[in-house]
Amino acid sequence: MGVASSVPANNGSLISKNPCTQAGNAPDPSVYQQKGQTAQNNAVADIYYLFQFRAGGGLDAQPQGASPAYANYAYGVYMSAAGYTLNQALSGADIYAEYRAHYPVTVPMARPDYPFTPVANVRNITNGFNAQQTGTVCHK
Amino acid sequence: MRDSRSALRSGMLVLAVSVCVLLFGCSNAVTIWSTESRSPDGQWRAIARTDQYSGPGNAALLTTVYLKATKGRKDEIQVLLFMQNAKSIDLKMNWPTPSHLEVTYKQPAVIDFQAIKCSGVDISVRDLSNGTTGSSR
Repeated sequence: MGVASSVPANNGSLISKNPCTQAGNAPDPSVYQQKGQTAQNNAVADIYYLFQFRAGGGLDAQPQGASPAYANYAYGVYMSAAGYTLNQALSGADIYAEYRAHYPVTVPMARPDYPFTPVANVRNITNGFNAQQTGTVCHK
Repeated sequence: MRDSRSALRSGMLVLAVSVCVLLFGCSNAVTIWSTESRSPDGQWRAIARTDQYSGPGNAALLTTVYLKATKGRKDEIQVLLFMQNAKSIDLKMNWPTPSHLEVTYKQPAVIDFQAIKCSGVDISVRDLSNGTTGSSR
């Protein structure tokens, strides 16, 4: 089989400068931020909210019309507001991906640090995390 | 103090993700769209599927195109992979000849994998998302 490209794509169109334009009917990032802040000193709330990021959960933005970029950005916002480090946020996504999200082998992964997570996901999570840290979270 | 707090957070994160992984409610990819097109000579089926991935930090939309022989080998051979932000990229498959599969798409997407030839079948892709008809073959 001739292969024209099996390349780490530039992922340009997958990483939006303003993912809030792709939020659909999902909650504004400020909602994720507020829930994260609530969870910071409340372990039960934190576990509950993390569980809500599962497929179809209340904090899963995709079924509410949001793009994957926005959904991953929102996860980054939550994790930052909840007091996790960026590495913990990305490792959490990577652990989940290892056991549940079996991406095709041709998807560019964020090797070597997060080998089970697509590069685009890592970038969008990081963007949400950093935006929360610097007070530049986007709004719908 | 800070280290113990960080360790506690890590523990909680692992616990939450583990619960998510173990429970049935955390489903894997779901196919949200699919189509297929048979070659004019009936030798091949081109199959396209869009799968939606979910879970903490794992949101993704992937469209994959496979070729499958109607006789002999029955496994699907991946020839194209798109990563996208929209649920549909308006992908269409057409067979100009029995040995040429043409794939077009009208919404922005990133091609992460592209085979140009598979078992004698040429594969070409046209990106119509920006009004142009850029082609790669």
